[in-house]
Amino acid sequence: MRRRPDLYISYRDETAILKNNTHRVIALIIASALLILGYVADDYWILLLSASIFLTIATWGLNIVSGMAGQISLAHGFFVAVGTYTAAVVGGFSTEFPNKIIGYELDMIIWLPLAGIVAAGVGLIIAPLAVRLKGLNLALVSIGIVYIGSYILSNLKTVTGGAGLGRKTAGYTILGVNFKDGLEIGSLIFTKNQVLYYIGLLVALLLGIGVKNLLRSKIGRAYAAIRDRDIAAEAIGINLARFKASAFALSSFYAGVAGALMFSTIGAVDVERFGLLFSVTFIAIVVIGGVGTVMGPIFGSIFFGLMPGIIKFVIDHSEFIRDSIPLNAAQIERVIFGLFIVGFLMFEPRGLWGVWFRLRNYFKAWPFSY
Amino acid sequence: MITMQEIFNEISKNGGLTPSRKVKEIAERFPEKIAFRNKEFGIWHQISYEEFWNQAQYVGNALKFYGVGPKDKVAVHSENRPEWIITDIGIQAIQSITVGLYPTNPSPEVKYLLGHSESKVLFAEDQEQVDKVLEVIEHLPSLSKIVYFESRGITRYDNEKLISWDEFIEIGKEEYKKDKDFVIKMQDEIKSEDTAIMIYTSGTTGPPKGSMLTHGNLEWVATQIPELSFTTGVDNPQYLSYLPLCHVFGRLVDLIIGIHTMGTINFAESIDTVQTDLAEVQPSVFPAVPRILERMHAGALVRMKDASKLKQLLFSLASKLGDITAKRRLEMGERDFIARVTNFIAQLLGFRALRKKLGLLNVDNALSGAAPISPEILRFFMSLGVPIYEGYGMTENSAIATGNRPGKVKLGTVGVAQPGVELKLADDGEILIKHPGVFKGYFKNEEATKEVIDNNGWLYTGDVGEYDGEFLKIVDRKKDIIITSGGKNVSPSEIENNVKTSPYIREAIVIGDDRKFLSVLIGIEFDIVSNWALRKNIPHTTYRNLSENENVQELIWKEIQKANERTSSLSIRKFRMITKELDHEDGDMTATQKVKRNVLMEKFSDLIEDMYK
Repeated sequence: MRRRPDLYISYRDETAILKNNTHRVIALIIASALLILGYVADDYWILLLSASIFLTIATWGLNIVSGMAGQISLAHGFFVAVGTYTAAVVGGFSTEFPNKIIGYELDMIIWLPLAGIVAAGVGLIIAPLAVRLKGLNLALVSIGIVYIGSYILSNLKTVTGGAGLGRKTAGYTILGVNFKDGLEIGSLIFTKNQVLYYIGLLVALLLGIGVKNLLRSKIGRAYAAIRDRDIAAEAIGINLARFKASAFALSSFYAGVAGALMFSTIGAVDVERFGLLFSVTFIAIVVIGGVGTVMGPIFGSIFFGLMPGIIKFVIDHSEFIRDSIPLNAAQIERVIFGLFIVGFLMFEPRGLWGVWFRLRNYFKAWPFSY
Repeated sequence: MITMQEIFNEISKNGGLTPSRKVKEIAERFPEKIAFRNKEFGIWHQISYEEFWNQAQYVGNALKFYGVGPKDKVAVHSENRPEWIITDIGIQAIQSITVGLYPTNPSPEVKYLLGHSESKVLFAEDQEQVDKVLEVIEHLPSLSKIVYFESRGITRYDNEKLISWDEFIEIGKEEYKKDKDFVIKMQDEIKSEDTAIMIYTSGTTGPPKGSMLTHGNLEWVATQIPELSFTTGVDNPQYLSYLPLCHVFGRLVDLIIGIHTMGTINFAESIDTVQTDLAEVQPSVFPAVPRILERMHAGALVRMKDASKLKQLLFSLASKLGDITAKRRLEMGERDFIARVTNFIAQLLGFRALRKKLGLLNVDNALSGAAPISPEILRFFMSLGVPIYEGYGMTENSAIATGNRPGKVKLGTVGVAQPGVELKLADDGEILIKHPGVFKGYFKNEEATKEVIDNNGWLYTGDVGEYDGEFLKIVDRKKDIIITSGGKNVSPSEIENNVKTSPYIREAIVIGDDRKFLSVLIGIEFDIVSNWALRKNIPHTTYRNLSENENVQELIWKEIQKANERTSSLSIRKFRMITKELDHEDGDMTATQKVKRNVLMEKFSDLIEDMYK
């Protein structure tokens, strides 16, 4: 309603994602900025941006199960791995040497959703644990899953290539077009990484709307109820087993899709990647970004994804830092990241999203303070 | 869609209509237009004028079914909600007479009002109001049916007089099918001298009196709309209905002005949510009583104290600019250039945001009426850039007498005479009013009627005023004026309003009739004083406990001294705290939140005598 932005005549209007023209204009500006960025940025930054996007998708998944439904899972990295290897098997090449590795060379349009579906299936198998356990016990058990998972992956050599060797990821064919060496549309030429970036953007858009819809629907409210007090949730008629299982399945779906894309920019993947640290990364991103929101994982992933670039930029441009700190870029990155996790948990548990929220409220409450 | 200018032109050309006829006209011309929005669980549900008129006709038909005919009274006892106005229009359309009851009226008053008015049918909002009438039902022989709007808690009641709104409307629909033109036929036969509504004025002395306003009165008011001081020029105006509809002020704005300007009337979810609802509706017209404006003013100042230093600094800067705006506009008129500049900057610094929070962003005309207000409060809203005008009127003259208006504002006065109003002062200073909107008389009370209307049609308002031929200033109610033992004439309400400008003070009752000096009884604004006490680390529990606290007394005394410095009248020498919150059900106040001076004088006589020992 013009001039009366807070007057809602239906629930539909009140829960709309883009409530007014200001929102729509901002969304349009961000969308066009991302589209243009993909074309003009150099390859290094494209890689970092793509990594941020894929991390965002994976972290949304963790946020569904942990942030929205309150089930702490340290096994998220395992589901990402399931997605990665499903995609690699369905979309990758088979080789005979040095090991026999299977691959069916199917189109991306098949392997991308399938990666999510298989991961969701594995999630469903593990879900009964979450139904019986909660809190710290569930967290501990999920660590167990990570170890069991990496043991299985190391030994499934026909799928993963085995520890230390690894295998190639899924191929680069979409709708019958191979973009391994770039893509030419009219007079525009895109590199492989640019194409992957745009595919990532599209998938992230769809899955992002998915999370938002989940959050503002009956299922999302049921998750929140379970998170806030599972006994009370059950008392008002929420089927705990069903909703906890669905949270795990959905979360794993996101992990699977992200996993399928995550290593495609590099082109190869090794089982060693999927250790406990990998799973903890997602927890850290959620903590830094903000728990239980759609925006939080985006903030956290961009922060985590772009930080190597920023550190590299600073080191390249400052001799002082290069000379005075006896650490390399990757080490500095880890130190800073660790400091941030501690700092956010202590001072702003709501994460980067909380900082944004506070900033927004500062101006929203104007001229008051609350 | 029709613009406001076209609506005004039509009214000037064809004159106003009685509200029920206007509703029919709008329903035929613009059936889709939104008449009401009613907030339920956060969502504003809309009702069109067509739906409005249909429902009103069902009400008329159902009333006929239960034997209600011309000149019969039908009572409504409810908070503001769409059904209130739908019912009102339905009743008036079949030449019956609507009697409104305040939701706060306790059972004995319900008995008096229904008994005195001889109401045949009662529309009661919910279980609370139904209980009140069932308690006294054996004393009400003429009451044959009670219709309730909300069935929660009532479904198991066993009384054959009870019927739910939905069932009632169903009966109306059945009757309507038998004779579709019944209501329209009845409506066509309405004569302007017929009584349309009866408004009981809650006298501060004696039982309430029922003022009879005729269809002619309402039509005359409607005809004046283009020229009235408190109409909006905005197209498709939005109203927020929160002033009680049983009071003439709420009725005037919502029923007559709201409908004639083809506006949308929004109903607040409840009394407690008015502030948030205001911010959502952002109405075009904001009719207010001083109490509401005082609360807004106090609330803003107190919340500002909790704001960060930077925000406080910017706000005080904006306030300084706002003061200049208000001053320039009062002296040089609305279009003054410097005022525009200062206002623009002040809006940027925070006033725009504040107005949005208060729900006054789109207000084209805010008006204060029904009781005297302190000029300080008006100046505050003017400095915010809200066009606010104080007006004057009473039930007996359909609430039309005088008003400040754009370009003609003088603080401390109630403005100039409204169009078509004749105004003069009697020898003793009493204000006399004459116009076609002056009421027909009090129901079943010839004697009282004769006291207020003389043979030439002049209405004796009971207010003493000063009139310079242009602006009217109200001194006080004639019977309230204080004459000290030193022989000085003092208007208590002026001093009281001055004292009430303080955000900490909610009620002030000045005493001094036949005394050596003036004193005052103070009721504190609990929320705000409590907030102050928290900041000063003063422990407290209840209203009484807080009132009796020495630090609070010191604070109040300082506030009174500040008020003393502002006034040209006598200053207050002593004060005492009232240790209970005043309210209607205890008989301390009228339903419109005006204190009953004589009741309080008696109730707190020990406090008063203590001051003059």
